[in-house]
Amino acid sequence: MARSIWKGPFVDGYLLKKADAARGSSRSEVIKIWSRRSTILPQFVGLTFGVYNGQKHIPVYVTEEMVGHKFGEFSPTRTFHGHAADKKARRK
Amino acid sequence: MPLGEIGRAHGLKGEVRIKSFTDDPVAIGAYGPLVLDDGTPAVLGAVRPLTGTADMVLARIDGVTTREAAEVLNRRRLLIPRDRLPPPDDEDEFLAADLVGLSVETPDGRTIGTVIGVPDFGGGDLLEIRPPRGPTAFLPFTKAFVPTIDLAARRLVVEAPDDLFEPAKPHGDERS
Repeated sequence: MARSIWKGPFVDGYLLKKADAARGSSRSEVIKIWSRRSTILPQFVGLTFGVYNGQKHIPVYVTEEMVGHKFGEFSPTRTFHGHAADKKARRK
Repeated sequence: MPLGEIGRAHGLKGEVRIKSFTDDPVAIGAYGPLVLDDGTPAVLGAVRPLTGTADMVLARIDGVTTREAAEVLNRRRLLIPRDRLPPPDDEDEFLAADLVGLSVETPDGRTIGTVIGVPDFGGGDLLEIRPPRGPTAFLPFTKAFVPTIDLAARRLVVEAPDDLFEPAKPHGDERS
């Protein structure tokens, strides 16, 4: 069953504090978090979170398209070795 | 550079299944003549996606007209010379293959590791960096964290967090 709308999106409280602190600092940093269950909110856009996958923190650069998804979706817990020989990487 | 790997034969007329390593699997047919891992030329034709799979295609290979000839090619890799891959579209776009192997340095010139991969788990491109010893770490591939890339000198300069290679704790202070 889907979550009731009246509750609003779920976010662990400490994430909001960490995000606010990161926005205040001038230095770019990876905000280490363990809360894979938290929903990505609009105020997180532009920040980089290191989402714990059980072994290490996977950096996730939050974009507008990610709003509404959970952090855990972008931090896989199983190993995948891709092939893409012609893969291009874009520096944002 | 590997572009794909030939799988088992398909049908009786020499078609083969190919596991494509390109971003768009069918694009493997658009790179012109490829070579097998023993240097034999391999020209692909009639490339089409294999229904129900994400990265497999069906294709013909010039000169292969029977199932028996196609079966011989099972597990052979299809290669392309690096200079035949199209150049990136702008200065902030790089072939992942060009980034792998670059030396990673701090702004003060200290080498901290080597790039061993450029994965993207959905949260943007990352650099996987292997230090001289210990487990690898991921760094976002952004201008803030990777301000300088010098492909000619085979090095890049990163603004890495101080705790980049520190082992992750199973949970943060906020949960204890």
